[in-house]
Amino acid sequence: MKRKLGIIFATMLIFSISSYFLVMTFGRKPLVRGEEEKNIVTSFYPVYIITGNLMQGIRGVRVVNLTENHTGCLHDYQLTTKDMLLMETADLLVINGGGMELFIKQAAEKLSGLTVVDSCEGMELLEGKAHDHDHDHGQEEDSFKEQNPKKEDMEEGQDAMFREDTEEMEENGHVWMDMGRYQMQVHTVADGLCAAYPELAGQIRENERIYCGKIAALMQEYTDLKEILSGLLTITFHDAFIYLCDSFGTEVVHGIDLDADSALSAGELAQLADEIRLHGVCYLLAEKETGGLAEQVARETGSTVVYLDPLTSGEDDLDAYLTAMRANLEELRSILP
Amino acid sequence: MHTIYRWMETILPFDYIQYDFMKNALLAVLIITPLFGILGTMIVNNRMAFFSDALGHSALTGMGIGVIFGVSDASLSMVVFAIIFALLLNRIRHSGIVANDTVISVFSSLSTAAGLVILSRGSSFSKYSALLVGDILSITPAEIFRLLLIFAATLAFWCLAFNKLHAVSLNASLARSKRIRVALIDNIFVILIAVIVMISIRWVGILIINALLILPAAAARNLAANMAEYHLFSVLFSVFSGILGLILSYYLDMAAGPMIVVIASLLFFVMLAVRPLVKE
Repeated sequence: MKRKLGIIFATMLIFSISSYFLVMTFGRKPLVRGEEEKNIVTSFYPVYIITGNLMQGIRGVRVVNLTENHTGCLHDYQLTTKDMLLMETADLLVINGGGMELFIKQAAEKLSGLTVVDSCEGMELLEGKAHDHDHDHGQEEDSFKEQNPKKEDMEEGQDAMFREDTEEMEENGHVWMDMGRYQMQVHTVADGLCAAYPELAGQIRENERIYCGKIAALMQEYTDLKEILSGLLTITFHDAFIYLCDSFGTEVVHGIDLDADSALSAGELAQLADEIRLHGVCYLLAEKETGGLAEQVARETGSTVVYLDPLTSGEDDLDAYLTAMRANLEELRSILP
Repeated sequence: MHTIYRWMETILPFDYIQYDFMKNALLAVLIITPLFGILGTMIVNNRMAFFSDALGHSALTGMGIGVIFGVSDASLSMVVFAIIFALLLNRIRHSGIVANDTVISVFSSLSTAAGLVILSRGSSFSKYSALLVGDILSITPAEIFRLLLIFAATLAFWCLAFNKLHAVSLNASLARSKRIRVALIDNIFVILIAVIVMISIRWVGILIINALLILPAAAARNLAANMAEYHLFSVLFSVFSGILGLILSYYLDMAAGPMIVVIASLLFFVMLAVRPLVKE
């Protein structure tokens, strides 16, 4: 017994010493914060860009993004000790809100003394994974129902069964894709920052004015797109594009959030193809990474895929939003009639 | 709780202990790991490694059923389903109609598939994917207290029924001849596993919970010559893997659960290598 315990403790000692050297070599250095430094942590890319613009040129302020700029949406994000540590050392956490960061929000609520600024606070949100049956299908839909009565009944039954789950699921937080709503986000974050740091309010408000001016200029530049896109029927493959469509008056016949979903069922694909044929949808809005499925559907139905950037990730550049949004708008202008 | 926190800060003057989430995670590890170390001994002895794995996978169906019935606390539906699942699986396993590994595989596949079918309805599985890896960093004091109660219940069961459980695991017929209620003891044991797996799965994750149950006991079995040694070594390996894995995950910015499993696996291989030296 003593010999065995000796072997076990010797092994544990070797493991511990090896771990010590591992930590010394590859480990994170202790997070040291200066006396004067204001630590602002943002949850993910869009709010990181907003906060970075609002705090631009202000000394003694550190803006850190909790997730990597290329993480994308936080649907299945797992918090690491580093994230918890960042939140512990922060005095302000800026989140997008709208159900995008439930996980972080719940963790942040456990941390005392951390102020959370929700950029979507008070904003009217659209539904995610939209399946819009409000529009008038007319006779077309009646005949479609006649052809597929069981499918419709089944869908209604399932809807009732999962109502509670679906209601929670359908909150769409990708508001930044609507430039008008993005401006509102900027204002909300600016209000939160001014409340937290009243001594910096002058500089923050000035940055807010400049940044909102740039967004307004971009909106102005592409006002003609509204006439082209208004009333156009589309299918979206990312919840973010629902807001883009909303801002231009484009009708989303059916929405799928491939960013959050691992796979689509055969039934969903069939339903999608039926919707496209029923409504005569010509354009499918998708992002490049998940465009394979959209291409498949396009081949099946003869529609066209338009690749857009949902702006959930990008470069560490303060003008990244404006650049990427401009690219999206140019893409729409070049492809659509 | 503040007293425990202060006490921890006093005896552990390290960088990581100044954060409440690390204190909570460490407390949870100090409860979960010995619990798993103890339970693992009998799971390995009874060759139930795949049984507990199947049980872990049933968490998906348990959660799915909770979603269907609108149960606000998913843990409740998971525990209830896991108990039914474990008792049914145990009954069919002992009936001898189907081979043990086949029936476990059928149950495991069914529970995983049924869970995925329900939870991916409306393509919303991503909402539940956190269950796969778990997150011990977000555990709360109330949840730690719940784990403590389970730990106490397990200890009580072990003190009262270990000899009977051991007899059943050695030879069920012999145990019956000693007037041990084999079915009852066996069912209580699988219910205990079901409850512990379901209560801890949110913190440990479906993919690695079985590794935490099996690895420390498997490593201990390489050295142990009797039950006392087996339990002691298993608990030592389990607690050591848990603490070192958590600390390493803090300094190396990696997920805690998988790091604990990596340490436990390395321990298993080291003990496998030294086995000839101590078991001559």
